Amino acid sequence: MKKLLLFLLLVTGVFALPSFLMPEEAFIPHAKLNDTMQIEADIQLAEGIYLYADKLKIELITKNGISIKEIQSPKSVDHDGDMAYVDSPTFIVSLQKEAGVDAMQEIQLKLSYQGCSEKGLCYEPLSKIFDFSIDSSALELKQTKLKSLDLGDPTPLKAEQTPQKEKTKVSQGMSETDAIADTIKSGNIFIILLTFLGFGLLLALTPCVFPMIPIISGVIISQGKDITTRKAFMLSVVYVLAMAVAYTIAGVLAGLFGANLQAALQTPWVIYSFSGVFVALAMSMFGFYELKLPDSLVAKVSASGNRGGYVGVAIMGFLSALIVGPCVAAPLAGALVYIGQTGDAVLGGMALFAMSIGMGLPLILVGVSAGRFMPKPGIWMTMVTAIFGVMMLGVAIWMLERIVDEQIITLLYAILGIGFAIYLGALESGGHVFKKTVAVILFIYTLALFIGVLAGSVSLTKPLAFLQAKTTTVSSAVENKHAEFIKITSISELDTLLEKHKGEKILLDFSAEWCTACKELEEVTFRDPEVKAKMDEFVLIQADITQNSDENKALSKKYGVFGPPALLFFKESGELQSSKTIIGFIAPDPFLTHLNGL
Amino acid sequence: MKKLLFSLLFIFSSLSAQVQWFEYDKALQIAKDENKILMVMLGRDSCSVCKYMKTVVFHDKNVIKKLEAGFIAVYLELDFDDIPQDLTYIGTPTFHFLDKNENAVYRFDGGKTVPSFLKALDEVN
Repeated sequence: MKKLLLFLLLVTGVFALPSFLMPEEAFIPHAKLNDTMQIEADIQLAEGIYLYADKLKIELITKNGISIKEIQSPKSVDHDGDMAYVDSPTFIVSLQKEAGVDAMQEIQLKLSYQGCSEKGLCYEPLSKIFDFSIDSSALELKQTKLKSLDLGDPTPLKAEQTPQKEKTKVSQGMSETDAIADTIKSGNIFIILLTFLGFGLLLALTPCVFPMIPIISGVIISQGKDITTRKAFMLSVVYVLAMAVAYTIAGVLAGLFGANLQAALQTPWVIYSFSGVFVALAMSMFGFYELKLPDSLVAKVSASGNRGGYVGVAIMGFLSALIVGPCVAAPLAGALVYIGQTGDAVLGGMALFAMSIGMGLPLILVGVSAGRFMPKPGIWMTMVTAIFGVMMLGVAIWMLERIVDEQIITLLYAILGIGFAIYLGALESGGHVFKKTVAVILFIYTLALFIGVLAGSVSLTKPLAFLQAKTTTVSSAVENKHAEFIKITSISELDTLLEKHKGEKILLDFSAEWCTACKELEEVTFRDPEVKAKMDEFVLIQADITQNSDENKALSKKYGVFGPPALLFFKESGELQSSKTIIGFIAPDPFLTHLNGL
Repeated sequence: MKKLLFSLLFIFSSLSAQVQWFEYDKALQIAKDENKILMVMLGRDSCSVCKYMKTVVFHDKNVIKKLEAGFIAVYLELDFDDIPQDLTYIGTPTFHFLDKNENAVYRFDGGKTVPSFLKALDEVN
């Protein structure tokens, strides 16, 4: 234990805290008694230190019949959305006494406070206790209210409110932590299951399921001619359920080992190789080569189909899942990776069960009709397989998204889409109207995406936004006079502008080139037509702090902005509007509400 | 069928939108398995800088990428969570970096904006 402590001491020494003051240097509290028996308490704040106004608390912990009558506090200022003291505050505490209290009394005053450094560290709650001897004869007598209500702890309202506020803050904090946990596990189960069911149905339409058809037909026929539809149905269901069990086990396993998979998928070389596997699987879907079990094994299972009975059928169903396994490997792997991502075994089992039921439905149909409703193989089957191939390639690109540049990713998606559209016959004459329409739409969209990337856009929904931006500025330059931000980088530049635009409402946006949240704010929120219209009422100034120069730092510090993005609002009078500051990204709707509320 | 493709892609892509936070024990196990570094953030709900880290920095794509590549992230709230004895702090946020044997490898106090946070992560490695 001692060793550990020593080690710790060393460690803390090695990683010394260069830029931050220790708490006792940052805050220096004093308290003294003045001539009128008031306590003057002040907290000396070091350079760049501020105190939260709502965390400041002054109370008597040893009273001896004396209580606080009133506290005079200095005005706090808006600091990044919180009320704070940025200059060393002084508090004047007036005291009062209970009836019958006389002579010198010992009291203890506790000063509690919490604050942060502008450099980005919030200190722990601190407190200091001061002892005083009070000549109570100089004090006013306490104004008693209803005696029955007086519980002997007469703290003034202000002092009482503070702990209450703290309590609500704490409970809010609880829900926020819960919210983080919730977002990790987000994803609507119903939609997931439905997607997997559809996925399964789609799989049933690939040639993969073909090896199963003779098996299930064989089972039904082996029961003899007199088999009822009901019996045939039951046998088919058992067969499908057994198959589903095999997949469900796979799903549960994927869920159980999910966390590891998830972690593994964060290492670049694992991502590259997984992505490579998906490309290989996609190639097999396109028919470049075939993945399958040895024919002998398939024949064996088929032959054992004659055994009959529910148990036999169940065993065959289970084994069939393995036979078909390699053929559906690509989509199945995709499904399993997805399940692994959630790290949820129950969900994994349910999803894979839903998928195999989807796969099994057509089989049940085949079983009941004893082969009469067999799907006719044709070009459409190859098409379904090709769609899976494209999905696989999509997944391969998606996996790369974590480690490869956004533009390259969008480019890859675009290339994939164009390729698929051409495969569907977008550029050929003839073909079914429906198919052709889908192909052409896909072609146009992905072509737009491709052009968008070349023009520097990475948006999947508005690839050609760059065109729009240009045309509006050209056609309605007059109208949009204010839509452009005036860029500044220092306090002096800002002050000049604030002076120049006195009498107008001003929006000051702290931004930097490296700040992605700022970009989102510009591209999503500021682009919204309604927001844009409303923003025209403001003079728009953008503080560009990309350089992080001393001037930039001074500017951020002056307005208590720890980092971009931050939106500050000034009234016509030039006064900064307290408590209206926005930190971080805000969506168009709430931003509009915020603007309207100014 | 297109819809299915897109909804599937949507589900896939929505999974990678933010930094994944793990519970301490689970994170430690993953760090062991994957030979990654544990990043433990000590924070408080009342701390304005922590709020900035949560709303801005940990939503930055580059930060997410870098964290996912070499780190397992843990968030401990000083108000509710048990803080391992070794993880000292003078304030919040404090970032401790531990190897898979829970040995301290790096530490920095206070929040950072995106570029300096990325730089700090580089220094850890």
